[in-house]
Amino acid sequence: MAKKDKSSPIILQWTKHVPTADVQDPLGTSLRGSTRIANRLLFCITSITPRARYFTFVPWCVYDYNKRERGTPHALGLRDAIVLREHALTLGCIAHHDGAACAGGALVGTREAIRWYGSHNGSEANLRRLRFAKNPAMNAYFNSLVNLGVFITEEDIPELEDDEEPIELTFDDIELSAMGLEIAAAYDAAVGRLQAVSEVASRSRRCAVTTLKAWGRKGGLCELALPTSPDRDLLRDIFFTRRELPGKAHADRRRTLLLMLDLARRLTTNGWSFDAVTFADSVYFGEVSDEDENHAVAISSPLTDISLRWRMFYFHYYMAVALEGIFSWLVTRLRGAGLAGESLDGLVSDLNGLGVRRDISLFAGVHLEEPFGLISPRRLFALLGTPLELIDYDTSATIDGSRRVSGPISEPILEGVIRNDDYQDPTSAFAASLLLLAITLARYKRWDATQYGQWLASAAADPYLDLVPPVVLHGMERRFQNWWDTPFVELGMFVLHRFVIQQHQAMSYEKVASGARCLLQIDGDRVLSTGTYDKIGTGNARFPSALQVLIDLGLLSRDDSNDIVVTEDGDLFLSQEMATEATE
Amino acid sequence: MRYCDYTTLFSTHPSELVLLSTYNFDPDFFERRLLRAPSLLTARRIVVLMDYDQWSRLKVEEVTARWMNSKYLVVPIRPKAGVFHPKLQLVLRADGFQLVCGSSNLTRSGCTHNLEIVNAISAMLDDSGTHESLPLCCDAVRFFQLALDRGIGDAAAIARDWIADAAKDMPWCRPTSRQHRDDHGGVKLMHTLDGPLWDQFVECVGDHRPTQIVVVSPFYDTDGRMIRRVLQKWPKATLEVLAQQLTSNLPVGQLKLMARPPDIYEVRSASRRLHGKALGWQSTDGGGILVGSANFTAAAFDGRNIEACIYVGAETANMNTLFDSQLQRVSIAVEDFIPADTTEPRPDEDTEPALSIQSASLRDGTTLRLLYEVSSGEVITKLSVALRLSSESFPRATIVLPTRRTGEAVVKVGEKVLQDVHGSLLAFISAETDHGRIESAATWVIHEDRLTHEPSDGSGIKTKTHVEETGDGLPEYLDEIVKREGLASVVEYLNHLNIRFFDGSGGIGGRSKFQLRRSDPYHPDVPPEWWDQIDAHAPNLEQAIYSFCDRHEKSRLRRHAERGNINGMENFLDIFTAVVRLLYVYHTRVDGRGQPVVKAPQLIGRVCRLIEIATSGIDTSHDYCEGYTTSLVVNLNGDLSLLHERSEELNFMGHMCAALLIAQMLRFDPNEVPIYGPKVTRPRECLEHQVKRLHATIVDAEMAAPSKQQVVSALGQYRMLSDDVMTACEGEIS
Repeated sequence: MAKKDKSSPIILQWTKHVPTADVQDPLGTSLRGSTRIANRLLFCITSITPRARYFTFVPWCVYDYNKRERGTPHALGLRDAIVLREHALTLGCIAHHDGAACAGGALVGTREAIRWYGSHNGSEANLRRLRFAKNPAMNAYFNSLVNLGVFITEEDIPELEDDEEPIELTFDDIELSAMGLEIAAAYDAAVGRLQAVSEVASRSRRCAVTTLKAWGRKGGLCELALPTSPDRDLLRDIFFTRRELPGKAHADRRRTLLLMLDLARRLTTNGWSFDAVTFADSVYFGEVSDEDENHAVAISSPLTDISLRWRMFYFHYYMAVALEGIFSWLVTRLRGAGLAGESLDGLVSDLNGLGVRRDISLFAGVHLEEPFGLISPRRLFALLGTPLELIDYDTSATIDGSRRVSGPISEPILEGVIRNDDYQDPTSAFAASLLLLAITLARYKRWDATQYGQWLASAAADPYLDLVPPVVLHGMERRFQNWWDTPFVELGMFVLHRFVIQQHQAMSYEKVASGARCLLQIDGDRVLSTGTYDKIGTGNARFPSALQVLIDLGLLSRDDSNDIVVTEDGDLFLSQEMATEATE
Repeated sequence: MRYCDYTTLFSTHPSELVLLSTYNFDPDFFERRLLRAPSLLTARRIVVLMDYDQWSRLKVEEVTARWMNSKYLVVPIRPKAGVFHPKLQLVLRADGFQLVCGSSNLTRSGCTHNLEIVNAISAMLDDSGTHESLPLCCDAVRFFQLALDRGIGDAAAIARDWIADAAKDMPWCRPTSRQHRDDHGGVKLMHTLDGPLWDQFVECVGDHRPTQIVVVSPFYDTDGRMIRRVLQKWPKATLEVLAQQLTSNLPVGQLKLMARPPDIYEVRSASRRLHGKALGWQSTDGGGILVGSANFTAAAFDGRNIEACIYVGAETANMNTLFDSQLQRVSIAVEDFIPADTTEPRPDEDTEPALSIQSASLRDGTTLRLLYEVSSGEVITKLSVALRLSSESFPRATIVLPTRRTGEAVVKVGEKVLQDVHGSLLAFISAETDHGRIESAATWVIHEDRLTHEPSDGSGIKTKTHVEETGDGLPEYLDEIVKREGLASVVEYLNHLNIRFFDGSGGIGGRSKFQLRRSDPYHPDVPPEWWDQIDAHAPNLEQAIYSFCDRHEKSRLRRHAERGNINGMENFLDIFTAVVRLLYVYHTRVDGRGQPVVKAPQLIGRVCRLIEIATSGIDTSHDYCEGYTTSLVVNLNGDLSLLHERSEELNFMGHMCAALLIAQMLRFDPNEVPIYGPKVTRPRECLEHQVKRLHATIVDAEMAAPSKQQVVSALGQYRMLSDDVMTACEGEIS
């Protein structure tokens, strides 16, 4: 129906204000970039699924519910039944560790459970009345379990015949697949005979803490690593895709985990620690460094491919840090300007300030004789001893070879400057971010036309909205005939306008229809900020989870200094798997 | 205090022509927010007039614009002096109009963030086709006509034609001359294309002796010229100037020098920039307010800029309504006021770029007309135009141009170059010179054929919903999509369209709420589509049509047939006729090789199968399906009269016979040599087996055979047969 006009005239009214709401991931580089890429590389291990044992515990909850509770008069719904068992596990782990959480953390509901344990030591727990966490672990782990093939999904159900009614599934109808049953049975072998398990499923839902303690000892999160855990090997098989899993992305998770193990072994053998930083440096630079020395890190031949894909991840990572760094600087700077805002010209021209020149001279270790804004990346890198007229496949490789991890304006150094506000003049954050963007894109250029560049590009479903290095590089190449030889003020103006302000405004409409999640407004030639943003969110959020999973599986462990080491079992396992990889 | 949400102002629909004007334009905001407002979503045509310099800036900045010049037309306006600065919006509907006039540019800050003042007047014509506010609409149309005289390139000519078309279809909106303009209930449209606003404002004040003049504005003359002018004109009136510290460029230094400075009031808002503009007067016996785009500057009031305002007479005008405890005005001493270091909008003083495209428009799908200019003094050895999508790094096509320094060029663009272009296409020219290569900024190509949205029946909203509910109007809706978004979008739409299933058993078919599906983020090492769209496979419309038909046969019609619910008969017929019609319409259309999109054997086979599903069902060695009619007979065995009544009411069997006749007409080949049986001499003798089965079903269901009139009626309802075919069909009905 056409909508007819029944409105009365609006005479002399102010327009309504759309207030600014909370802003996270302001440029979409995390959710629409890092997360997508990392999801391919560490499929099913997310930032919120770090504990391997939940991968057997949650399916076991479904199994145990079906075995002991479903159909009884006191049966809960499946969701509530799982949450109830989760509480029992949490409390059991706390009791087993005498009031502390499992090593490695991420035991859901720990804080409240410790508090309860402290005040009810030795008494009986009425699990029906306990509520330790707002979001149960099941919520976090469920999708990963589905994607691993633990449950029977719509893909597994034969297509409906024409005369069949479509079945309206509910959560209570979920069923374990054959593999799901196997996993559940493995965990059941650890805890199924415990008194607490029967008590949890009973009408009263009451358990003595002492019986729960046994649950923590047999089925706790950190206890999975023990060789006696019946579900450990099965989980190794699943995480390392040693059995057939639905979907192709599981193979990349396997190779990522092998890469982590391999790098952990190589680095720790040579006295280096293995963590997110050395992992990143190894795959990005092929070397690690500290204040004293650089150490080349060779990547095993079967893992070269996955290592290069992680390198693509870090191209995106550094690009995102650069762009978010500019965004953060801009919002902070504009907040000081209030409603008056600032003009883009004014903002960019500050790159020519003396303070910026001093700061950049310090970072780069060269004396800039002219304002930073007036020099181009080409000129700056020539001063640094890498004279290149333009950036193409060959010269990109030259940059790659000459700018190493510990160099004065390497990506990690610039990232540190930006994240730690390590400069005198606030505008240097903008300058450092532009430098970081320039070096990242220059280094990336050689990969752009390769299969890896295309793989990275495919993370951008929509080049209008998804910023990944190929999108930004192509935008720069289109805008400037030779961006490498374009002064930083011009690069800064373009990047600020297209990839920061415009991008942020576009993102705000992706999040909510009203566009409320927007901190920047443009009015004529003025830009103003309507909020604050001082934390650069970009990171490798899945790496800590993957590390913890490897620890839980008994392949890595932490030594007395809390450093990562490869266990004997891990060493053997890695050798076996690398041999398998080499033959494939 | 009253606040209105600017983004919800454009809510009436369907609209014929939407005319918008702005100084700054933010295409991304416009496309994501305003273009989704009902008035614009359903508009047949949309024009945005904007300032030329700001348009040039958009081109250089490569702003995100997915649909510019393909869903809406942007006309750059270049005033003789000053800037194009109005914010007047007009929505023309067949039964009325809506006029919005204020200070909001079509940008995010203008529509959602700044403190802007707005007036909005809506009118629905009465039975005699008039309304007291109608002259306002006519004045607004005239404003746009006059503004377009200063428009650049083909866009201005297209917009002028559209206004002329609208005036033909809706004569009531024909512009009036200024001499005949009346005061429409105390509200007038004033603009600088009719002369200086100052003169018009003074004329409105007339012989009254204002006791108070109130000014709200973010921008003022640096020499305080307009403030002096008011004080000189009405020396006995008090002048109140409302401005905002740090955002308004109030000439504090000049005011301090004045013998009798105005009273300054600060507009206090912690988070919103004052951008509203108003000039009000009050006397003991009258008053009025001018609200719109004009800042309180000589450029605005003396007519250098193009400005548009609404003047509201005394009865409805009261500036005090703008302020209360939520938004305060606080008296402030001149010397305490901290002005902004900004200037009012003024034309760019930059020199012309070395190369520029004034206009690029695509007509008849492949003819590109360019208006370009080469300002560079260098010798041009080669000139060419290049086309690309905004996501593409490199042009998908380049075409050599004559090496003239200025003028027009008409070139042909290969069909293949444009076949996958959905939204905006960019054109830029490049020149080879003795000193290297120079390029112009890219401009958005005008897709003239796509800019007019012709809904088949009523509004686009209705059509889309209607199609998805009933299947009716599907080919016409596909035509709209192909015009506006291209063939690939049609294929995509067909691939995703599922006409609603309904058989009275409650709810609509579809997925349950709880879903358990796995995902797989694996992606092979191939470039994404946007990487190089020219290499993408041509969209296969033929396959998309077959896929759509087969999907609906399986998931809808066979489901009806299995269930045999009489309540689903209407839905069955809707889907049946939609599928038959889609097949036939695309059988009559040819592809790039001159072949029918839908091949005759494909059509005949599918139609015969659908008839079997509708009647007695399919029972072969490789396929089985109940017949809908047969299932109905089983289910309603106790009372077949219900079946007969409903069938008669919906002309069910008439439709079956009509569909079969269409298949027979296509099957008939007078030159065919029979392999067995006698030679077929006329269409109705074809598909003999199907005819027999249909008649057998009619007999089994104890139904009456459809009359000739019923079959003709069903044929007519398809709205797809030419007169000749219709006549031929009628001749075949025995």
